[in-house]
Amino acid sequence: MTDAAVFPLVEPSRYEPVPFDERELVERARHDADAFAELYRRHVGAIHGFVYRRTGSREVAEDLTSATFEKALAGIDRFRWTPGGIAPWLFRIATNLVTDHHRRRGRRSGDRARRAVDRLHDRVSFDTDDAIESVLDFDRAALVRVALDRLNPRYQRVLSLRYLAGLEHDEAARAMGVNRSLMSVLTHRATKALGRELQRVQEERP
Amino acid sequence: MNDDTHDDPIEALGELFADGDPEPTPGFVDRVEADLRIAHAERDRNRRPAPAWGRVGALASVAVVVLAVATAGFIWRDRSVSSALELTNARGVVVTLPDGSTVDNPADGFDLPEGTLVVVRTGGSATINDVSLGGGAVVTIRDGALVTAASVTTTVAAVVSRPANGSRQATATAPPETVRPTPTATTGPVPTATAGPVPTATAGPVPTATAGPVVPVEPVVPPGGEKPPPPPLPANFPHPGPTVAHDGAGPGAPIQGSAVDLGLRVRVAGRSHRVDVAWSVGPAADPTWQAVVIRTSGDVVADWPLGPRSVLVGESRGPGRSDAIDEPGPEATVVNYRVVLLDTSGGVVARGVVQTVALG
Repeated sequence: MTDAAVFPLVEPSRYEPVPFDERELVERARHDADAFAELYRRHVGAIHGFVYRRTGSREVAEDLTSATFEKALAGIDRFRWTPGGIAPWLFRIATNLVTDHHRRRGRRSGDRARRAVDRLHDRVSFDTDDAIESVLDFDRAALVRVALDRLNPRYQRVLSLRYLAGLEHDEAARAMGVNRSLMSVLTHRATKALGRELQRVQEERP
Repeated sequence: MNDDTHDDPIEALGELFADGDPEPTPGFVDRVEADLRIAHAERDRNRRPAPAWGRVGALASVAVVVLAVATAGFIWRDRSVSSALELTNARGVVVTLPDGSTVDNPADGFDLPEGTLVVVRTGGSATINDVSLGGGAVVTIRDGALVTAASVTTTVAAVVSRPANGSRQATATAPPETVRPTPTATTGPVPTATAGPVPTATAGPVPTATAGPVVPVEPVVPPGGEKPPPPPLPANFPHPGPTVAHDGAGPGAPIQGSAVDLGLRVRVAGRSHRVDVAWSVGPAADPTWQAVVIRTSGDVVADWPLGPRSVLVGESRGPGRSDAIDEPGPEATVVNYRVVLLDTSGGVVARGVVQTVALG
């Protein structure tokens, strides 16, 4: 694993600043399809990437991205503007959908991913270093997802919003619906829980 | 820790960024946007049902338009008879003169002065000059012409039920309806008004000398006791539905305003001559409007302005429910009640249906 893949997460940053006109766009989007389409265009890439990081499946990512914006449309009248813009709210919807997705599939999804990795190990011929690295990267990502999916849904949301969506601490807290202090506590506990699950997943590897 | 593990679990999450974010499949973004636009349009359609007041307003508007058209269709002003209007062949006819006096079945050649109200009961008939009137016709003489109004509520005969406790409650047997007193005809055969139930004089306030601002009248209070609070009205409280609104300008005048519900319930307690009267005025009523409850006896139509043998039983202002106890007296055998809604100038805004109860 390269450092480049790690450092962005150590100091998470916004995936993009809130455009100055976004508040007005949100207001218009409540009754104007064009404005809502503009909002969608601005955020669909980030939401899709976020969901993909969480699920590792392009197909699922597209399904859940679509569902995220459908829910956003249904609930935009209830959205109240916050300094972080609409992105935290969208990520909250998306992470809830991801959590629900995993909940529906149960823990078998994690097991299924692990079995898929195992099968991949069996089939791939390690002809080149690049191929090996590629497989190992896939392996590591899959294992992290397995560990993440095994956390309780609240911890999944905390870590997803904070580190996979790249929300600031305050934004993530707002998206979680908790205050800053509780967000800190939840982040700490979720991180510890993830560490334990990662260790367990490593030990379960064949 | 080996290459596959991380000391910091947060660093492990970086694995999920390792291969970058894949682009959605081609067409995905456009496809979803199209779906969202459709959903947005559907959402707008679904969340735009007319609000309650809007629906009421729409219904009222439709009712006003329909009634205005009907009224316009049935207003007949025959200037040819303006010089002298004579009533002949009166049978089942009540004529209310401008001074408030009434004449039953006047003799042939009875002159109809300005402001006279002519009501032809069910089964009755009459002729004014060369115009025949059938049962249910209600006409007034205005500007020397015969004016009929289509927006007339019929008298609803009450059914006196006798519950186990001995009380009698009058309930309306039919909703108010509009009758067609006199068809439009200025030439050709003499038209005959369609027969129908006995109408009440609802074509507007009869211009009499007594017409004027409404003087609030204290409701009748039972002797020796304070007026009890209005009891909750039962579910079957007769609500005649939206009552045709008038502008108080009289019959044939353009109908303005919104529909107002006027409810009335009368109940005789035991074998006494005390009648519990409860009435309600719908929320569409202006707070300044005054509801008056009028009682008449026999076959006298209860209406505003008060005519002979008419008694003001109670009054209230604005929307809400009120009640009163009426004591018609031992000589009364059949009494009629009606709620009339008046504006601040004393003009009739709306009339409710008549409730009739038998006493004794």
